[in-house]
Amino acid sequence: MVDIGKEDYAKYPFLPETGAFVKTLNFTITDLLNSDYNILENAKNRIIHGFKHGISPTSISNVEVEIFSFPLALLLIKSTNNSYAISKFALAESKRIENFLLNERQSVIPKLFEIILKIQPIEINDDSIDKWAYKIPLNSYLPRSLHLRGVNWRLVNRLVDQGFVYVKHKELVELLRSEIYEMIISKLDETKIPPSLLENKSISKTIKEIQNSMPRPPLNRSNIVFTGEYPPCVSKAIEMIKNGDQVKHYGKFLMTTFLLRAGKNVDDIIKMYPTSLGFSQSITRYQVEHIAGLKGGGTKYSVPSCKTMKTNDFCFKTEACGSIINPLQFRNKTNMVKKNARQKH
Amino acid sequence: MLDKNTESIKTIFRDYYKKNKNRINSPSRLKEREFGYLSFDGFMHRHISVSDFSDFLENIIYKSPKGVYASCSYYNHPAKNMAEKEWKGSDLAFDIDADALNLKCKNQHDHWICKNCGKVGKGSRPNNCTKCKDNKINVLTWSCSNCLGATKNEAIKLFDILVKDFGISQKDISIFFSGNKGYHLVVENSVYEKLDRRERREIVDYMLCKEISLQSLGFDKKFSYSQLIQHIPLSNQPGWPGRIAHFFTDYETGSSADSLNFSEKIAEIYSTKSKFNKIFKQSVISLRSNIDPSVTPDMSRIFRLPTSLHNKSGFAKIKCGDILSFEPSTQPVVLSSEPLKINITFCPVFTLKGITYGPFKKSTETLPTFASVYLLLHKLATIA
Repeated sequence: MVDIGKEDYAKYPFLPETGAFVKTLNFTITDLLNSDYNILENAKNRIIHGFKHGISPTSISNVEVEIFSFPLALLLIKSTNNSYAISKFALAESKRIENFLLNERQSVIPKLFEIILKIQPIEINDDSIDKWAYKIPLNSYLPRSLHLRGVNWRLVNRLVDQGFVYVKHKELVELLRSEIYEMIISKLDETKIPPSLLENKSISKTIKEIQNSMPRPPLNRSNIVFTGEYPPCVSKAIEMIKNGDQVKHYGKFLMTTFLLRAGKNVDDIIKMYPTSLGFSQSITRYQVEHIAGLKGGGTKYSVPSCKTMKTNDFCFKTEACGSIINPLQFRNKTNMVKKNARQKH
Repeated sequence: MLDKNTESIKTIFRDYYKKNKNRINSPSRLKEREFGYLSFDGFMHRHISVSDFSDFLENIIYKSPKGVYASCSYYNHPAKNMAEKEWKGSDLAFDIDADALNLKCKNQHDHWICKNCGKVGKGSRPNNCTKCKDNKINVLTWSCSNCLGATKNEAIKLFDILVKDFGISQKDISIFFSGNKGYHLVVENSVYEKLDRRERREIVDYMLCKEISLQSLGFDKKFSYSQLIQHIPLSNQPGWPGRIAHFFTDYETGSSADSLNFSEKIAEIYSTKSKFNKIFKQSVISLRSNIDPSVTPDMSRIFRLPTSLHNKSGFAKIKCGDILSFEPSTQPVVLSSEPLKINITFCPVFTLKGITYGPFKKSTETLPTFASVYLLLHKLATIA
């Protein structure tokens, strides 16, 4: 019998039990603001702590305060209308959940994953393979492992038996990292800000405090929105993806880094991968966001050089490329050609 | 306008489809699959949807194509172009072909023929003809009992991995002789039908044992001897660790009996790097299933329809009831035995239905239709 209690509601705000508990209390936003406990202060600290440390606070001093500070934090961060801060908040909250899952009682882990992510890990009780804690269905493992780095995630390097892949406790949490993040994002998407919220003085003051602590987005070295002709390698990658052809990793990496630098946003790029041809939208989103520096360590990847593309067999050089050493220079080159042509006329 | 040889083959194919239309079964999920056919004039006709299989077969008899195909994928709109089909899922399909195995016997039975002077040579194609130095050269890939036995062995290994590692029920795996030099294994009704191409590529790498790491098998350079003993896989373990441990055990003892506590012996071999690496390399080559890596992830591919004829051999793609007793040079040979006179320019020895034919060089022969068509399709003969 799995025993999920009130403390779990505070740790995992997505549990149906958490929602049911909140509903029974029938609190309004005004009730929360007027409560004896400083829920607004807790929600604010939760956000700012996340900005500073990359993880929302993991200590729970008062279960009720924690439970109610989460929906309030969603309202506050969404009210800032700053996409970079929202993404940082989602990441910090997902790290908090990860932390709880890593230290969770063995007995509730399968139940939690089943409820939250619709995956049921099976606990291993076999001494001969005691290094593994769980096994999960192979068709659940594959879509999640593909975006993780390291040879240890490759299927060939896993223990696979009867349609299940064996994983350690830590690995299980790591596998589901991007989905935990997605859950927070979808919770933010669902959050509707009541028009009267910003009229409340303490709320607007708190939002200002949050805005003053917001992290700066990484420097965008080029804000130029590219409208010209794409270099042949990028055009080729776009065309192949559109047709559902097999595109090498470097082709997709080039296309994504180039288009991001050319001013396209993450959603525009994700739409270029047709789901009808088997591209998984959630994996594509994770990868594009990772390249854009919105995920992981925040590294924003540069457009690979022509030399790198040639080494990786994805160079389709034409005369128009001339002597450029990076596909980004193609823009300048063609623009220059056009400019010269105009001058001649 | 087709030439005389092609017209003759087309008529023979038509007769086959007329006589065997009741033996050609409709694929599952008929209305969701894309169909296609390759006509004798060389055109590939794709994006065809079928709602009545007997109507489709009547059309096949009428058109008498060189090849008939059905997709491994299911779509909402199979007749639309790829981007608009709305993919719903795909069978997990594998292809094993003798040509990809690079067997030693290839040098014995594969030939090249100079288009200019007709010079014939054994083995792989030279850059230029050794006689006239022309570079227009035809390549003739042939098959023998060794090739067909090797592909069967690969199919058996694949079947074993699908059942044991992937947990696929034996009844959901169909093994087909491809109709030429290999096998197709198709998994239907499985939890894997929604996997995308990248996930399927990962399965391919698993079958090929590609980039398997020693560390994942328990051979970590940082381990002390006692840690190594603790981590070395046992031969009764599932998946690759167990298979490879089993190979090491067999290699050293010649028998897997009483080999569960073989870790110390393997650790001893591990201390001699060159010996260990040699056995490890051999284990991977011997245990992996050499499937064609480009086929499984390609969900837009259409596969030859079971019981239809192969355009390069005239044999049928047929389902193997029992792979172990399947006879690839007899059971798929479905065309008639009526005599058919042909002029043969050149052909190596070949065996069909237990009878060995050839070698022939510039001769006129009367052979059973199935053997004559085999040579006609290889462009080694013309109708006399």
